[in-house]
Parts: sequence; C-alpha cells; structure tokens
Amino acid sequence: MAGESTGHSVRLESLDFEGPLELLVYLVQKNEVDIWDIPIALIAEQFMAYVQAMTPERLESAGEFLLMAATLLRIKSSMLLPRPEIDEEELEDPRRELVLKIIEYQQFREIADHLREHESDRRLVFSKGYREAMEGGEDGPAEPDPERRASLSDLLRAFAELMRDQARERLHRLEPIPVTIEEKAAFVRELLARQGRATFEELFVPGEPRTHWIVTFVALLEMAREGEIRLRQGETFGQIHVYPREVA
Amino acid sequence: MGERDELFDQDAGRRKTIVEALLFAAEEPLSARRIAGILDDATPSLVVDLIADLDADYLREGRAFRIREIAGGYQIVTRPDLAEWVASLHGPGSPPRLSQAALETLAIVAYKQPVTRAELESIRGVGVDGVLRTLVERELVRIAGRAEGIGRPLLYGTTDHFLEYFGLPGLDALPRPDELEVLFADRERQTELELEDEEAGGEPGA
Repeated sequence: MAGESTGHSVRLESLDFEGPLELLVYLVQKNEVDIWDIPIALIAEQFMAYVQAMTPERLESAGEFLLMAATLLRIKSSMLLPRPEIDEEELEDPRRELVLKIIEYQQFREIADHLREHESDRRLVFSKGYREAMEGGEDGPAEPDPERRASLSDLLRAFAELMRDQARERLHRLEPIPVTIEEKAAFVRELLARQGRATFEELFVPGEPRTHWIVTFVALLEMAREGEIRLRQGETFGQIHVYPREVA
Repeated sequence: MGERDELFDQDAGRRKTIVEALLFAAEEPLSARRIAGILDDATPSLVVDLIADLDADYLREGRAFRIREIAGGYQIVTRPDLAEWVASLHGPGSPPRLSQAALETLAIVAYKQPVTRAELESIRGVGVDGVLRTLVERELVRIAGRAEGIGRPLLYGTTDHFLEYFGLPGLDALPRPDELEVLFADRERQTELELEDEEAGGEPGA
C-alpha cells in the first residue's frame, strides 16, 4: 500500500530505524520538505506505513514509534482546525515543538558523525596503551563476566565514588544510627529476590543519609563474607553487580 | 655571553631528552604539569614548548612518530601513514567500533553533561538503558553524581577515557553547536536573526 501512493526506489519498511526521530529525519530529508513547514499529513502517512510494517523483532521499541505516531496525528488534527485569522501571529504552530526536537536530535547525530571521524582517525595512530584505549566489544559485554570476582579494593573504590558523589552533609552531633546492618541486609536480600541481581549503586537508596549508605556497605561486606551474595565485575573499574548465591 | 647561551642550550637539550624519555615510557598521556613536576626546574608552559620542539624534530627528521595532545596530556604516537604496518603488529582485525546508538548517546552526554538518563532518552526519542550501561562499562561514560529533585536520578558525564578513545585533547576540541553544518540549521539561524530584528524595534514584516 505504501508502494501505491508513492514511487520510492527504496522500500521504507526494509530500512532499520532505531527510533521515531531517526525515521522522521529520514522522511524530512527524503521528501525534501522544509523543516519549518513540514507537510504533516504526508509525513504522518509515511510514518504510519512504516510502523504498520514493523517486524516483530523491532517491537521492543514499538511503544516509542506509536507514541510519535499519536503525536503526529494530534498535530495533523490541530492543523485541520480552522484558525482565527486575527490571532495567527500569536498562535503557536502546532508543529513547532516537534520540529525543535527533530533539529536538536539532528544536531547530535551530526556530532556523532564527528565522533565517528575521530574514532577512525584515532585508529591510525598507535602508542603504548593503544589496546587499553580501544578495547571492548561492539556494545561491549552487556553482562559482566561471571568469572571475574570483584575484589575488596574494587568494592572500596566503588563505594568511595558513591560517597564522593553524595552531597556532603556535615554531622555536628553524634546520633545513634537509626538503621541496623540486619535491616540493610534484609533490604539487599529483598531487592535480589525481586530482580535477580542488582548493580552496586542500586543498593544505595538516593537521598538517604551517608550513615545509611555506610551501614548498607557494611551489610554487603558481611553478606559477601558469609557467601550469601556474590560480587562480580565485568572488567577492571567496571560496574559491580551483586548476585544471590544460588544463581549459577 | 656565548658561553652562557651554550650552557642554556645544553640545559634545554637535556630537558628535552628527559621529556622524550618520559613520553616514551608512559603508558598513558602525560600532562605538562606532571612532566614539569618530574623535571623539577621547569614550568608547565616550558614543558609545552619543549614538547613542541621535540615534535618539530620528529617532523623535520622524518621520524616514525609525532606527539599528540590527548585527554589533556601528551603522547608519542606513530604516524598515521604507517598505520597499515603497525596495525599488523596488533594482529588481524581492528578493535570493534562503537555502534551508532552509542555514538549518539555519547554525543549528547558530551555536550549536556551532567545529564540524566531521562534527558538522554528525551533527546534521542528511544530508551538508552542498555547503551548507557555499555558506555559506563567501557568507561566512556561515568556516573557524575545525582540530580536534585524527585528520585535524585543519576547524572552521567564523559571520562578521560572518552577523550583517549577518540584521540581528543579535551572536550573543547569538539565542534561548537554553531560550527556544525546542521542539516536544517540555515533556516533556523535565519529565524533567529529575524527574531533579533524584531526585538531591536524594527517594524515586523516591514
């Protein structure tokens, strides 16, 4: 049906767009329309055709495409509403917000192109530590290497980073710590039971006082010592993941 | 007078040699300040001069190296035209490149840092969870703190490793937004100018 209304040489459905903005940029370019005067009906139609033809593998991002489709339709309908002539100067173009989003996205795509060039140039010069600077897989290992155990110094480094990042609050009084190691251990257990694993940072509740974080950290050390949890790190200085003991 | 100049030249020559040794032996880019600290009797700006001198020597003598400014430091690197041969040394296949999604996300982090995941997702129009995790794991992006406000979401920023990976001297080596040949920018700039005219008190549309 897309082929009937238009005479594109490339079938749109066969192209792969990661997100709705990427598709929009493509449509604006391909139709050679003025970004500030997008023929919204035409673009919406082509956009919908693509969404309808999306393969099941792409469905994970279908939500984002559908949301954009709804936005396009909403803009299209508000464009159809008769507009009082007097207010035309002040009336905001219903497309404006979307257009600014497309332009901003396109800017970053072009910066990404710059980075791609730098990446290529960088690969032509070699030095000590070249492998270290370049290492890692395409999109790297998504899962940490289950063999690599996080050492105590890894843990301490991660914790020190967290604490540094947390807003400093000066304690002027000595107060009893209103939370126990057992409570924090229970919290960690519950989180792991619920989601199977956790990142190190996830265990530190944002907004809690530093004392709570310290207690959480001590609880983690305790649990690791008891063998109740396993701490794994994909690579040196990488993200530390916490697993319950049972999971292989 | 002449004797003093000679002494000075000897001194400068020796310091240049030391700088060369340090750059050669270092595993990562060395900052001028660090080198100055080791030399003891040199300022960072003198070190920068010595390095420029050394680089000029390499160029003049047709040596295999150049000195590059990377991540706020200096590093001896092989010449780009020798890449073919040096790459063979590293075995077949070059290290994998970053995905388009990773590059776009990095671009936004670089310019908007410190930035939350929600902001990144809003600009890219797609989820960035997986990409962001990968970038943090590859140390191209780091957690740079937490934002104020509801949920205190994590903030992300680029790392020195990011600069090393792309061979950039610093973040300011990236183009400024107004230097980009953005696809649609002409019209946008035009619009901005029109707006300025109106604000300046001119008759709109006159």
